[in-house]
Amino acid sequence: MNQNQSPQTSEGKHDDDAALSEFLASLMDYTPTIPDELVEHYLAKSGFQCPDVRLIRLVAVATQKFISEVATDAFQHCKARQSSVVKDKRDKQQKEKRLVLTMEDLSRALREVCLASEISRALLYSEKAVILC
Amino acid sequence: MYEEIAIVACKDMARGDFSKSFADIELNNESGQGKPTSMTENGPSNSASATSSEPRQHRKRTRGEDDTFAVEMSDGGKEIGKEFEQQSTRKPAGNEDFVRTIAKIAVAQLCENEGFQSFQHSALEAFADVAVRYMKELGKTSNHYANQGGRSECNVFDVIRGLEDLGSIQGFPGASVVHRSLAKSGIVREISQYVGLVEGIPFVFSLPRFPVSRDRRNSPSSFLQMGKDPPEHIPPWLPVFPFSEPRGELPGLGEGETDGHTARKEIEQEEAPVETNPYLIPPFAFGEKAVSSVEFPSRHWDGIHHVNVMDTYAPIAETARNEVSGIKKMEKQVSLDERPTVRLKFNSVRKSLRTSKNVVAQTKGVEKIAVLFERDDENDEKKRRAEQILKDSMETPLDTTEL
Repeated sequence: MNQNQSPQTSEGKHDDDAALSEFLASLMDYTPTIPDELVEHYLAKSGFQCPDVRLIRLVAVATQKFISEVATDAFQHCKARQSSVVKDKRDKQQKEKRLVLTMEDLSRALREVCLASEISRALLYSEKAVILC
Repeated sequence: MYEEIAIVACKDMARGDFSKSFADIELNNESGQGKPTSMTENGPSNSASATSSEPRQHRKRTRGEDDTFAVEMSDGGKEIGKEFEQQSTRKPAGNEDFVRTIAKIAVAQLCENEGFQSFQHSALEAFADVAVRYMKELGKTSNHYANQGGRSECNVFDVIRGLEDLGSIQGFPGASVVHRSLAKSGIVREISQYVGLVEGIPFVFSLPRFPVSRDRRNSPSSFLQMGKDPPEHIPPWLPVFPFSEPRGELPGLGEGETDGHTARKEIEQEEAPVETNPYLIPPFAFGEKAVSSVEFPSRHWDGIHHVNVMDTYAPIAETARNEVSGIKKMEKQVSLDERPTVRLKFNSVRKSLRTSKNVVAQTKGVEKIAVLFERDDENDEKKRRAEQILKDSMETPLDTTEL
């Protein structure tokens, strides 16, 4: 069975490699919001050495994806909390429209995507996130 | 918007204290309150404590807001106070606050894209911290995998492995397959989907290359890069000697030496007696006396001091060298050893006094003091250097003769 599968996997590997290099090449056209210089600085600080700009872009895109996921989560929390508040006090409904990123929503969102303790330790300083990890 | 963050951060940097001077920054200016002036108004007062910032924010909120928001923002105020304390305890060095501000702006931009209109500053701070830690952690893990593979530079697969490590808590498609190919990792697929869905929004500012990365590349150039011939036993990839310029000025000395240490010692030996023993100094020519009377304005003084010391020493050292060039090395050492103890005591006492004075001038860092001590300091600095050089050279020949 293994012998049957091996040619397929090798072909598949070629395809995967091509797809991966294509994806990396497509990253050069994509401008992530997190600037390359920032990523490069922090990567260099952590000991990461690579002259390849595509890898820095990859890290930037990955970080951006992570951040926007957490932000989306926090946004949902914010909306949910606001709608519940609005039910209670309808008279001041108009002023509630402002969407503020608060520590509460953020810590809730981060609790869901709870990363390695190294990262979430950043929030241990705040009062509301003591339960984290 | 982002300019406000940058402006406030720059103000903080200029003031030297990194006080968080606002509760939240409006992402949309048309959303009513929070005029740009109100963000910077309570800058200095906020650094006192959380309690002082709390009533202020309360007042700000209650003029048009709900009670729940007031409570929230007062909590935010507490957090700001905490953040500030935390920030002041671990002061980031040098350009770190600049980088941190850039990270904050980038995160704020991403939050704005998600639909947020404004944010608590403490939340933004924490969020930027999370982003920074994510990057650092990713770099660390990838580097770890690269090192495990016996490489010093990371490649794509190290980064993918790092991503998988970081995403292993959340989970990603295909994580359960043990012998999976890194090339078709679920993480990469997710990222490529993300890239396809979300269009790239460039950062609001154009950034210069950070000085840190530039410094990293400009490592001290080796003999190969400088195109110099290293001494016999030194491989050419090693960096050049830092004192190669003064050596280059003195052509008579350079040939016979093989070691940099002895070269430095020789230079010091030549300069030290010239500076301290007035009988060894050759007489000045008619116009040459101007060397000691040169004075610099205090603000330029620090920058060019080193160069000028070398320049002022150069003619003296050269003339001395021309005279001494015939004498052998042993004779020099003997001439150095003539009065060692007296000089050493003399030097140590005076040196301690002067260093303490210099330390006072440096730690205060006020220009007035520098002006007050300017003339003294200039002379002191020269003498102190000469004495230090002498002390070094005194110690080393003593050892060799004792042996």
